[in-house]
Amino acid sequence: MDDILIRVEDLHFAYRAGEPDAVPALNGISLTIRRGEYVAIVGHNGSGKSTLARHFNALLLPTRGKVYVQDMDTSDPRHTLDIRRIVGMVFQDPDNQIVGTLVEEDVAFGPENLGVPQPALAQRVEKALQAVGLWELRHRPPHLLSGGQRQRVAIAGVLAMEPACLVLDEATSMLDPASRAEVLQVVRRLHTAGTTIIAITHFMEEAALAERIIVLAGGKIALEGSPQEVFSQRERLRELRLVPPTPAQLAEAVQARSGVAFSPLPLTREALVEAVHAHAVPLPAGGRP
Amino acid sequence: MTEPLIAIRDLHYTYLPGTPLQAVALRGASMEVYAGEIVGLIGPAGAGKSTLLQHCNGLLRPTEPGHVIVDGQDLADPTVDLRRLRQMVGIVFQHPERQLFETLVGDDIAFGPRQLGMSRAEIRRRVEWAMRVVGLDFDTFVDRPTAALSGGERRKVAIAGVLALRPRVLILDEASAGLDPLTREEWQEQVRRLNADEGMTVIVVSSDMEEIAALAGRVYVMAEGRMVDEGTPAEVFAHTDLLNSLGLGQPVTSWVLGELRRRGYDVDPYAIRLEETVEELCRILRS
Ligand SMILES: Nc1ncnc2c1ncn2[C@@H]1O[C@H](COP(=O)(O)OP(=O)(O)OP(=O)(O)O)[C@@H](O)[C@H]1O
Ligand SMILES: Nc1ncnc2c1ncn2[C@@H]1O[C@H](COP(=O)(O)OP(=O)(O)OP(=O)(O)O)[C@@H](O)[C@H]1O
Ligand SMILES: [Mg+2]
Ligand SMILES: [Mg+2]
Repeated sequence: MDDILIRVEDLHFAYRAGEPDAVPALNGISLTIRRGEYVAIVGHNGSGKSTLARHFNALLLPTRGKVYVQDMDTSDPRHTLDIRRIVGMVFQDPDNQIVGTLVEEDVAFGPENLGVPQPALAQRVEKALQAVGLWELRHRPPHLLSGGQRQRVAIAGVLAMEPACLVLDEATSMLDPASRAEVLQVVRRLHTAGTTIIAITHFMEEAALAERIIVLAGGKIALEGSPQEVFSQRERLRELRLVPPTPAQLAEAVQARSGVAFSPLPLTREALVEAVHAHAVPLPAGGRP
Repeated sequence: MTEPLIAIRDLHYTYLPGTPLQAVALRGASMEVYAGEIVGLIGPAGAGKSTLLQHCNGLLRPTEPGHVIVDGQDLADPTVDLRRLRQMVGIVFQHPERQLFETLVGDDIAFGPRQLGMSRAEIRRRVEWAMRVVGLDFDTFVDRPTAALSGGERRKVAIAGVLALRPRVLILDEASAGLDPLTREEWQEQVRRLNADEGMTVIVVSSDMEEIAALAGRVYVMAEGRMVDEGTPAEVFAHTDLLNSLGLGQPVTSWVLGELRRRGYDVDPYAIRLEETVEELCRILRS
């Protein structure tokens, strides 16, 4: 099937496999990511999210099982470069990702390695820096920026590579709310234009933006479905060390107390306002009730 | 009047002054933190939050006008006992990677107590305690290389290393970034407990406004190197225009109530806790 971008078959992975201190991290994962899909991966600390993500662009190779990107086996070294061109990854720790001595050089590094010539290169760099709001800081050394600024440099570096599939591993964890909203806006725009998005996050309001959520626990898929399906299973979520987004928690508490039933369950703050508005006592014309 | 435990007065700081890379980070910042408080500090990226906090344990020293006074001592005084100061004020940095010193998790958490010359038994007690507080299983992790951890696990080790010093003042610079949702809830509970039961004074920087709303008794808002607002979370989060202009936004609770108020509903915009918000929402629903 050619609308499948990534196919994972019974993936097992252990760090230091075969050694006495081996750490099993993935214990039999099978999944497919369709081209153009927007998937969120969530799960407890140490559940295997980053390890799984590193298999999507051949940074890690399966101990057992297979990972295919556009039908290319990631274990075949002849495909490695092509795979990395398709799947771009923003890491959890931006400092491991920053290579250039100036912000603009850092962002140019990826596309330059892909062989993008001038002036296209300069255009890509500018577009990426504008998208994350860092154009003004392009002549600064990245290691002298604040935490949130460095995180945005890392995001711009991958955007400039224009990958068909963008993997974000907690890429917004240290951004202030407006910067986070901007990055999410960029992500949504890319998704609309056809980019496949795989977002790893501990922010459930962010996960609710995806079309599908995959929940990992102990290196296995514990739950999978639309945000509505996943976030309505409150008890199960808690066992998996997750909590529904705050708007959904508020909505459930309001339902329980007032007897009003919201359908579907609002997952975002905007949806919660609409749901309450729809069930509220109508306002008298021309003023507050 | 009691004296604040930490008083920052009109502090200025410039990185790499006199070079082409000069960056003015603090432009007259002032803040007071009293013993036993939990103070929140919010502000957009680059506002100067981390720079300010690094002054509180002498990592950065005042070079320009301004004072940092901790427990009655002016840190501009070159004879300040930094060892004592760092035992009193513990900072969990924004990037835990920069905080891990030792190869093994157990050694890393024991680093501070060892420096202080504690007995082996006391060190072990502290390491076990700190790992318990952050929810790291002792047997699984004590001998694990610090390089062989997930992002959230590394964060927990960094927090535990600071806790093991049992500082009087705990400074958390985005310390909970990367913790999973339930761990984040449990960690907030632990912070409240350290504050209430052990009298630890806490300063918390977070880009998660809900965390600030849940923890802080008082909040400072910082922008471009100085404070631009201060008050209880309910007060600060009701200043919608300021927060929006700084790109900080509000916790879900304040945002939802503010939005409904704009639509004409008579809800209390100062409600901020989950239970209060639920109550406000129920009031305007048809029963
Ligand atoms: N380099 C490594 N060597 C050995 N074990 C590792 C290494 N990196 C991670 N692990 C272990 O593998 C498991 C999965 O880690 P992974 O980083 O994939 O988790 P995660 O879901 O991304 O967690 P987090 O939310 O904390 O980032 C964990 O038990 C972790 O301790
Ligand atoms: N080591 C450094 N050298 C030079 N400039 C720096 C350095 N660290 C920070 N800066 C600059 O100083 C200013 C304040 O940075 P600081 O790290 O204090 O901000 P912050 O409020 O903590 O931001 P964030 O929320 O992104 O962590 C920013 O303009 C930043 O670019
Ligand atoms: Mg991870
Ligand atoms: Mg900072």
